[in-house]
Amino acid sequence: MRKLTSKTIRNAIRDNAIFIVVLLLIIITAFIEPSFITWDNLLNILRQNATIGIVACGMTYCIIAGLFDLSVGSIVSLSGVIVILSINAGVPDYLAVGYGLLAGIAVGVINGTLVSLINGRSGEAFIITYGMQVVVAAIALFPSNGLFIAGRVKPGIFMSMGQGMTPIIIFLSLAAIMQFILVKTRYGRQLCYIGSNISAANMSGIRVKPNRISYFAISGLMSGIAAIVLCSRVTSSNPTAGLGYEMDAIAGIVVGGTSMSGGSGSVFRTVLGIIIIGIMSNALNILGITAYHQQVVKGLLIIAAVSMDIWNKRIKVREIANEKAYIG
Amino acid sequence: MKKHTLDKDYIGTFLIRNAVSMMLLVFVVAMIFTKRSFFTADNIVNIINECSVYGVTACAMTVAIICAEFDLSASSVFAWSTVLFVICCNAFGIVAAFFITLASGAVMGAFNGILVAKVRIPAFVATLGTMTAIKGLAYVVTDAQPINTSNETLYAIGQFNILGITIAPIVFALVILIFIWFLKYTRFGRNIYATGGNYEVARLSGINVEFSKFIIFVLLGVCAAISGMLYCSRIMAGWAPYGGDLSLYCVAATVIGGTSLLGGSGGVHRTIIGVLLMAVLFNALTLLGVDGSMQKFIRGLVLITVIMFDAMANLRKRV
Repeated sequence: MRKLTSKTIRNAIRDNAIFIVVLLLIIITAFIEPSFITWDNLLNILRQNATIGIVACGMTYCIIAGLFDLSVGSIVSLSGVIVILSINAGVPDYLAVGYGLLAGIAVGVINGTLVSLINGRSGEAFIITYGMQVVVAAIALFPSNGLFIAGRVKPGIFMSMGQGMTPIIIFLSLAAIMQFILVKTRYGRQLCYIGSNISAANMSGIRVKPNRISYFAISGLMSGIAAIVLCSRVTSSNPTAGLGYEMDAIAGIVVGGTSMSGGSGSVFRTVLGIIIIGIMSNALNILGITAYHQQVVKGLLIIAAVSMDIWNKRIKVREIANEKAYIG
Repeated sequence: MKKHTLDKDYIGTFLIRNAVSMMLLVFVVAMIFTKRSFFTADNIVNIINECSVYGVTACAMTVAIICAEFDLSASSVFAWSTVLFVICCNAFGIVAAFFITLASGAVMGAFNGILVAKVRIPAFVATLGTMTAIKGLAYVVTDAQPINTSNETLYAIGQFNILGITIAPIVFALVILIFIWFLKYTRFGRNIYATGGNYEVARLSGINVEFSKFIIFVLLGVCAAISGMLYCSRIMAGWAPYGGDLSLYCVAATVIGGTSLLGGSGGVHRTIIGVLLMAVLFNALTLLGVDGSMQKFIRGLVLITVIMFDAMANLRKRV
């Protein structure tokens, strides 16, 4: 049982500073525009952010493993193009969905293999997936020469995936499954171990390379799922649909509080971060602030969240050192 | 002192390290023999003019990579500089615009520098944030519209040339000379090598490592601003989407030139080769009639290949 001293309160505020700022924003917006806190608007926010949320959940695994995946946005574009093209070619729904997912996994496996081949850390992973982002985005442009593709979608499995509550259900249930795997299975614990110290993990017998490839594959798979939900919602595909998704996903992850240095984090926090950013941009929309201003805010938010995380860690290290000095 | 004994290991590492530049050279030679319009004086001058604009930023990126850092926001600073320069040209004239843009580049670089050196955010996360923020700023200021200028001095500078060589290669050459002098003959330059080679050792031997990390980002901001202004002098306009993959281009040119991503080695003179090879490659692709998205594809592929070969050469060295 933690005692409620000024110190614990201070720590709690420090750990949740971003949440407090957003809470203030919500209260201000609710005063200006009461329709902001209605059940409909909340569901709307969730629905709008379901696709980015799914992508962010996959990328959380990569970040916890001390890696980076910048290619997710392009995978969303590519998988979407593939799904809509196959549906237009008369392929049954479930097969078309399968192709889209397969494309995502394939790009993920390529990412993972390249990074594992050179024993890459986050820096190498960052640059290689950055290159893959460009390559995959270009591939998505090929079939339609960069034009928007309308889908001849018939009612069925595919069409139902983006309608009504389904995106929200898919998002939250995937997040729950991934959180369960992360916390309760051997695979998940190995993920955290690899993220915190890859050499130690390797020496203690964890097969690091296949595991690391699998994290990229999961990130690719989740991007594929996001693409399907997105394309089903708009029954068409835009070859640049995923542009900037990686930024939004990273923003959600860091605002949620998963550390960029790897080794710890949770999918639930990412869900929270995504919802917070969704609420924030919804509030900013209601307050009449343009998308371009919001881009500035988002960039600064990432910097603020990461700085806060690093600052907190430094303070904690200092406190532990002080206690030790006192005891010793 | 043993100097380059030609054993099997040395040759192997040399081949891996220079594989991409050799492949590109073969490609260039093939182009010279197959495409008549490629190897003409006009086209060569054109390539040199073309690559010098981005080359200025590539030089600064090389210094950052030597210091084992990396900057994604260069492309946004570039775009922001074109916008700011054109706006200031219209409002205050070209001299004031030049200094204002330079100062804004330095300030943005300094902001990155503080985040990385003082707050110790990993460079790619910090510059990812500033990249988004600065790009957003450029969009906000221009309302996503391109802005034109009809400043006569700027037009004269853009049209100025000696035998077809415009102002950009001259500035590029100056920047290269300054950087070579800076890296080789000043204390700060040597400190950058030391910091990039081994941060902890450099710190313990009394080098102001934080200042080294800080200064490279300021240099990058200033160089990205210069690149932006050179670009403006050619097209007389500023727009937020300009310079979309400048950062990627700079990293690729640096590593093709032979500066390793590990940090602590390499040099700006090598990047000249990298910049030229990239420019020749894309000029040749354009002459061959390869379309935009295919060129984008190849650009990404070149970056991945270069990084892979560099990392594999480093793995050999480590073992």
